[in-house]
Amino acid sequence: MLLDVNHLSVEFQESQGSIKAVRNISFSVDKGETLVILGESGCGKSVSMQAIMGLFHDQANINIKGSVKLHGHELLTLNEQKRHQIRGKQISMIFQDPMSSLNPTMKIGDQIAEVLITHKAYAKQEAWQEAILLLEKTRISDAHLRVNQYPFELSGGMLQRVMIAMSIACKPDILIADEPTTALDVSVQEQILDLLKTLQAEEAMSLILITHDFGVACQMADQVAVMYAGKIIEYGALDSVFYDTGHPYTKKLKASIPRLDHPQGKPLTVIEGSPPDLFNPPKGCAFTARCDFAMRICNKKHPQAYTLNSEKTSDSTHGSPSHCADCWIHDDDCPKPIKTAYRKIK
Amino acid sequence: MKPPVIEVNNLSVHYPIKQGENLRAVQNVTLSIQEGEVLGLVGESGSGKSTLGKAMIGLTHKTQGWIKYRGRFLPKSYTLSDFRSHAKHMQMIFQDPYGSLNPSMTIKEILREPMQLTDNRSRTKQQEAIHYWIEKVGLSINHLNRYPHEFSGGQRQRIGIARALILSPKFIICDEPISALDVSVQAQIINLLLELKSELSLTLLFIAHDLSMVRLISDTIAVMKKGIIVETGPSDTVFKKPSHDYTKMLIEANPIADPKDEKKRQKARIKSNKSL
Repeated sequence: MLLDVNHLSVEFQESQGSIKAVRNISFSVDKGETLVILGESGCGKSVSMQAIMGLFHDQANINIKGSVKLHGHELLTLNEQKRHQIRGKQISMIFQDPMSSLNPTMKIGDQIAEVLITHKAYAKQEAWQEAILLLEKTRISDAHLRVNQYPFELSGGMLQRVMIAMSIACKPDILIADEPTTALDVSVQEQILDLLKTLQAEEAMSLILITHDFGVACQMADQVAVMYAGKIIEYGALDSVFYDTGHPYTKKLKASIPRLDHPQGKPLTVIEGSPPDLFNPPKGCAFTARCDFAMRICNKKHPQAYTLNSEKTSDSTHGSPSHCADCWIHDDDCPKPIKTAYRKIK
Repeated sequence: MKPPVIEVNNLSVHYPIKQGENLRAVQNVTLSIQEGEVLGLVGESGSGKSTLGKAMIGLTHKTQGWIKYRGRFLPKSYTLSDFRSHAKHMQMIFQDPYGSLNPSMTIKEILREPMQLTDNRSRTKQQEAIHYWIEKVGLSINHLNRYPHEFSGGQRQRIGIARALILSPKFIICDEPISALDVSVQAQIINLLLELKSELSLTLLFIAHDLSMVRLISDTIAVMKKGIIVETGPSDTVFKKPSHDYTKMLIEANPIADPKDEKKRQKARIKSNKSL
């Protein structure tokens, strides 16, 4: 495995108590594979990625537990200097808002060159030439002119291409993209996602893509991890998670997106209520209060991850993990009528 | 027959950019919206759809053409008293739920302000209206003394909706009200708007870049590209049988939330890109 995350937890210490933003999540990413992490705002998907990148290092009010291994080497215990060598070189990250992720006072070319000068000891001239090549790779128009421009002169889609050029400058093993297209138009979104896919294939790079949009997940994912209230509640190959959905939350998330044949003017299915307070996460399953299938046990105890005996998918050559879901509905003791009712809904 | 609620005729909005050069944000747009109708206005960013919405409510000038509201001409440029008298008839819901609420005002103050500026109803009447609308949009009276930063994006958008509706206007411009929200929250806001629309027989201009959500709420869809309306028609027709290539592109660019259908879409896209 390229990246192995085990029992990762992140807590923020606040004056009112601690926010349990990420609660004991485990997942792994293989070479060349795409993992999509799916969830609503506040579910901990960005925080977990920032923890993996080491962006919280040495902040006194943040507690990180668990293990993150890249090529078998532990990342969480590294000192800042070592971390700096890995960040941008072996793992890099792009963010939702490209405008505020770039330095407004530096030329585009200098910002890309900086990565190469820092990690690969390029001379300035060399790095500048390479920056143009990288920009061309992202299929930006007139790359040789763009290097001399400042971020404010470019559109959102172009800036995201610049971010991508920077992040792939050192041919990282793994790229983390945190909602890279949420701020963009549908047509630009398609171009950026296509670009990520092409680059990924060319460089045999792994990709972790964070999104709240099931459509984007269907376009990009090999594996999907669905997060809710700081936990991964369902995890498996895309087809299996979509067609053999194992968690009521995932089903609801699917249903809240209008299908092409959804009648006009008819209300959409919504997930009533709101996610729980992470200062004081519930003892049992965090989705219980909003779940149509809640049983008494759900409030008392968090379910284990049940492995679902779904059919083998074509991706099984990847050695992909089996499909599992944290829900009591898969327990042998769960009443039959509830199981049947669950299976009936789409 | 009743005149349309809003009628736009040959409207152009130009902004000067350099000496002698103009950015033609809106070019010769003609459209009308009937009472109780929802017009979905779709296009990429920079296509001029927000400028058109702003021109309707007087937030930007009109270079050429005119706009009528219920048969009466709207002024070419607005004075403060124009804004105040029109506020009771038309209102706007903004895209950014973070930037469009004053961070130093409580929710109660935010909701009271439109009433203070436009009519002289008593304090008790104001209070009644505030209580009525905060619950109408799915929040509670307990929320009234809080500040905007204490709310999530979806909740803030609900506050924006309450603020827009508190003067009981009949025409609402929704400028990308769901673009900044999570998919699941988008569904909640769309449902709320659908419900309010039929209960209050509102007329809406719904601006967005994502056709799949717009289709659900709109009776008619107008597609805008580079300041020009390239296609108009009943929502289902535009969506199922788009006649303009640009509309097709907008529809097909959307990923489908179903792995098998999505694979088919991608294959079709590769084909159509090659043929271009």
